[in-house]
Amino acid sequence: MQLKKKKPMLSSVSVGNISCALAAATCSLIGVSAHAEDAADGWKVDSALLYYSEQDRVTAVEPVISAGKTFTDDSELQLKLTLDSLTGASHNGAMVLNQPQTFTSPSGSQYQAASGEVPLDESFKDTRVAFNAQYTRPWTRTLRWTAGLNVSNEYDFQSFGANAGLLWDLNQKNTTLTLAFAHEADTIDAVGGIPDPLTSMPSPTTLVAATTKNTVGSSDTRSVNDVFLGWTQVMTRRWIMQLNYNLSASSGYHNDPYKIVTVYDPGTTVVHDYLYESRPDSRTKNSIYWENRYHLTDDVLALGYRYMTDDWGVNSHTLDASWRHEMGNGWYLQPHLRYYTQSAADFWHEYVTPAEVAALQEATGDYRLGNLDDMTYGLKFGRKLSKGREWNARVEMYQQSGDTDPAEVDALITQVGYTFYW
Amino acid sequence: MKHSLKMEKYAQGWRGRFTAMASPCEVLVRGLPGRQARAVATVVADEALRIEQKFSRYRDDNIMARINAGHGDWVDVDEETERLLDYADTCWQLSDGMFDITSGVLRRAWKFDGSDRVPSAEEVAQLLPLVGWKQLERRAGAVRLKPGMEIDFGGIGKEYAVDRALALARQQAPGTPLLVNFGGDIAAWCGDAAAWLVGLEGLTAGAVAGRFELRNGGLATSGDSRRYLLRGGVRYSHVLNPLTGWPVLDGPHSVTVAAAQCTLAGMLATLALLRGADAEKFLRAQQVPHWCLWGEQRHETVVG
Repeated sequence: MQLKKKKPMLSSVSVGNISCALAAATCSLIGVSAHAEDAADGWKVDSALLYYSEQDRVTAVEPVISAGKTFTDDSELQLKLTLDSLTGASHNGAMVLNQPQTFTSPSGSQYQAASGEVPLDESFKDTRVAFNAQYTRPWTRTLRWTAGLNVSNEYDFQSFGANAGLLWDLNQKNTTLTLAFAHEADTIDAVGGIPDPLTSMPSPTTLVAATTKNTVGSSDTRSVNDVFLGWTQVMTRRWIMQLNYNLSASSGYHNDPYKIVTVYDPGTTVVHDYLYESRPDSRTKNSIYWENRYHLTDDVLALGYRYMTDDWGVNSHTLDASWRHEMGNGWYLQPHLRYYTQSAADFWHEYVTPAEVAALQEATGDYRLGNLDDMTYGLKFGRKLSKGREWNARVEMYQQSGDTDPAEVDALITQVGYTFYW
Repeated sequence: MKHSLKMEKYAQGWRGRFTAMASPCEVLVRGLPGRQARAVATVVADEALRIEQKFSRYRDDNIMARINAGHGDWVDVDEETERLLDYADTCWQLSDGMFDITSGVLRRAWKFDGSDRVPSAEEVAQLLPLVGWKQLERRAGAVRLKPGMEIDFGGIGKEYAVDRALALARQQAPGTPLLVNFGGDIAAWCGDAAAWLVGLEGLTAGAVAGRFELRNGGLATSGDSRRYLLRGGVRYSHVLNPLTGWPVLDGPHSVTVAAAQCTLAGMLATLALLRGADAEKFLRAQQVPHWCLWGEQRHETVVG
């Protein structure tokens, strides 16, 4: 019978792998490959308005707009524009005393701190514009290169940075290794000139009555070099892990030109002097960061830990945990907890004594370089809409404490955001 | 377009149901409010009906009817039809002629209705001159068939519709996990969110023949569970060898394949069936997840 006769011919047809050729044909039939489709999604734009408010101190309004696009050749471009508008009062570095104190602002006018009050310079006001661009492009099948630029400008500070790196995908893209370098050049244009470190701030309430501020020019510079090593690993289908190491070495001007340290005699309770702070002219930071993301059925748990140590004696630990809970119908809720603790820099002092002044090389009264413990409690909620759009809102409470009153800062952070494709 | 789309809520989101291509169809949408889920499902149902109306061989008012009624004349075809013809050409070449969209005329002799009416060798032999992809002539934007020849996209159309519908739905709702299921032929996307669970459940014993997680890809089944002839203890599958005009014997009754797209999965499943007893050997060589049912088993694809 015909059927039997023909059967051997069927089996003689080669059983080779045709799925690759067929897959290519299928892609051109459907007319859109997965990547081309993402590109058709256009620019993904994230916009947000953040409002940061410290009790009795600084208030910041920060609009941020970022846009990202993946092109058909799998390259990616990320752009980000940030505006910062800060107003309010900032601790000037002096200690809290049970007596009235008078200080000179950078512009030369005088201001007071009442007895028992944190010395705050009320003239603090700044507007910052920052722009970042990062481009990543496939190079070979497993290598991608990335390069970026960042520019930041304030009326007394300019920063220009560039970075470049390589990303290496291994192990069917379950592993990605990153090596990157960054360089940043900063210029500080202090209002009223760069004060000579450890010289007096004019004040009528101190024992040593300096009348003028000693300056060393109107601006100074600092450069920062970074090396970044990253390891991203898909551990299981649900668990992704990231381990990063960062070495950051900076040299140049590290002072805050507006900050002072009090010279105080605790025996006589007399304020001898206010000295402009003096920090080392270099800083080397080492940090590691470990992040884990775990996907439950719909929810995502994230847990991050960061350790930083530097040659100023500052060691810090950060723990960050968030849980994104999908509530259905596109709604999600995301509680967030963050704990941060830091040890003081070797040259941080609440005040220095008159006896110490002669041998003093470095000193700061800036609470940001003292012992600190911070807690952040946050809640974010949002709703996904069609066409990839999403809106969200975030409220966070930030509580900071340290060894001295200036470090006691409570802040409220609120943010609204909207994501859309354009 | 007119369709019977009905939305219902289920544990993880919204399910839209409608009927198209003689199959129950569904689209699953996770994480979107009802109104937007309906908009996504509408896009899917519209695309299913559009492709059905354009390429169904059971209509007399579409491009297929015009091509098949060409009586030896050139018939103009649009870009989408050309792409499907290109695909059919690739499949014909890669299968050494075993997949052939001109083989539908053999159904004039073969009526797979579960009966024992096996045609005579003469009946089949008379039809063979009308079968053969290489007898079809093409030029840019047009196609010509020999009088009496017919083509149909029966082996491609439904899977193609699934992939197209998913692509359009993804444009409507970027980033949203979606699953499109037209009578067991499935395409899904979930990004990096939780995968879709797909079960291939045996109807007779209730046993699970296969169960796996579908992230971003397709799944398709080819089989003859309900379409065969039985005579003298021989089961004549509806899978016909276009070179002989006779059914492929000794093959599995059903093949399910998972691949990057539903269309690719469906074609690999169909090509496997055409290999008869070598079906599994063929699928292993393609290195794709696959499930073959031999004997009297039947299965149904269930998604969640």
